[in-house]
Amino acid sequence: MAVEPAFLSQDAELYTQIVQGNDKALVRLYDQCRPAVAAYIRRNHGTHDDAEDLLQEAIAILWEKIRCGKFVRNAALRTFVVAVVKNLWLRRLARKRREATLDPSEDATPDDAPSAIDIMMEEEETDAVRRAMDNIGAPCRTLLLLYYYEEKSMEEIARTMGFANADTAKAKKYQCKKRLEALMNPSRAEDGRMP
Amino acid sequence: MTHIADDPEILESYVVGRMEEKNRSAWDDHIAHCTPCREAVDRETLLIAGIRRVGRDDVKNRINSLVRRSREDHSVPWPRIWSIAASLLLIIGIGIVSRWMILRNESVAVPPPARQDVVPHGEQHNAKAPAQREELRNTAPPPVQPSPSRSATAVVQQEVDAVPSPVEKRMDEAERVTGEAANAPSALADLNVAAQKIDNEARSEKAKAAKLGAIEKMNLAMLSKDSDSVRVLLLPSADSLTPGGTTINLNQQPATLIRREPAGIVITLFFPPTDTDALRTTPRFQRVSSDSGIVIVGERRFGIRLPAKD
Repeated sequence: MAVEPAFLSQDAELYTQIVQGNDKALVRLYDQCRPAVAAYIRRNHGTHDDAEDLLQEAIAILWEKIRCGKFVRNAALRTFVVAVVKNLWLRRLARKRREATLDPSEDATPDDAPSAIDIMMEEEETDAVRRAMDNIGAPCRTLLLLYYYEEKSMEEIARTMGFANADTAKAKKYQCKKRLEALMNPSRAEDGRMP
Repeated sequence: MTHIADDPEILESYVVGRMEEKNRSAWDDHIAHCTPCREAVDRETLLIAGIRRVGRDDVKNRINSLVRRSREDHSVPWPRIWSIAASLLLIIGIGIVSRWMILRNESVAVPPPARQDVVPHGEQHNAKAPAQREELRNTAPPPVQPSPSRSATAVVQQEVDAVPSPVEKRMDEAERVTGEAANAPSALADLNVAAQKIDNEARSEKAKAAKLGAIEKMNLAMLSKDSDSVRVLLLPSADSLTPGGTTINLNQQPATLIRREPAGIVITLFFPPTDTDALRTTPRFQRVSSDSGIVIVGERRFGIRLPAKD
């Protein structure tokens, strides 16, 4: 029987704790990745705040994948986090370059990469959703996050939130989504978009 | 159904990727050629992406708070430590200053001497006491040199009359020193002893002087008795007997006749007949010594040397 590499054993323990919802495991992973991430960001014209933000983003992505069951353990957790940080930093650098471009003709890239205007509109839409989510109320907010962010099933949502059954959870989710769109309607109206 | 937006559940399943593969391919072809469907898909995509973005931000914030809390738990609370240290230093400093103030007040508790001329140091006063006596001894007037014919008693009498103040001076000095010693702190024991010595000496000298005084009084009384056997006569003189004739000279010694008789000594003074003031005055004789005396005629006094007894 092959001996499991030491790093996988340590990662396995960390992985198991993250799956179980142990927040201290996330802090340990954060401390493990911080030196490498800080060095990379500094070398690539980034600041300490950039390193902190991207490391938190990468660990959040890892947490999403683990909680959703989509994470494949083919490398150490630290390796995955550092790789995600590099991709995020490169994407951010590319976005900054595109945002600096004011001439739309120069922004017409042949690839599928979003243009500066698309990026700005996306960020604007995201801010609108964030504002609506802050005003929708805690139950609807939790329900929508469980379904769309954590991708829980209706049965799990009904169990978590105390609904009678999955159908009740589904109906509640539909109502909360409509309520969210209604809160976002003023923004959509200002943009001239169809409700 | 014509458009995907007609059914929210189909639209959502297409956007989140939960639609079956065969249905998804069909809708892909439709959406590629249908603008309303494409816009609906875009809106749904942004909405769901926004919700997911909010979820991720919540996780990031939770990680951030966990990391900060972990750093606070493991970090050294320097501000708290410094504040505690400053408080301790303040308390210690107050204690030190208070103790210093107490010790300082105790060191100046002894009141200063009342008079500046009182010497606080015992040894210094002991050294001064003999000097003080020496000073008094030196300041005393020199004794009068007695004449060979005068007795020792007369010499003492003259010394006593000429120098009344040494005893008094010593008494005053003794009283002063005694008073100063009484006012001085109890630690000035030597000063008290010296003052007591001076006092004792002064008292002995006073007793001595009193004794001498008693002796002199007795001698004077004896001389007064002797003066009763001296008679003084005042007679007008003839012009040939008075040195100045009839002129009255108050300062001039009149002619004098002294005779020793069995009853005593008779002194006769001759004044000018015009000196009625003298002639009408009752004379008195005051013996000064065994062989001399003073004849008192009114306001005038004449020294007389008495003849010695045979």
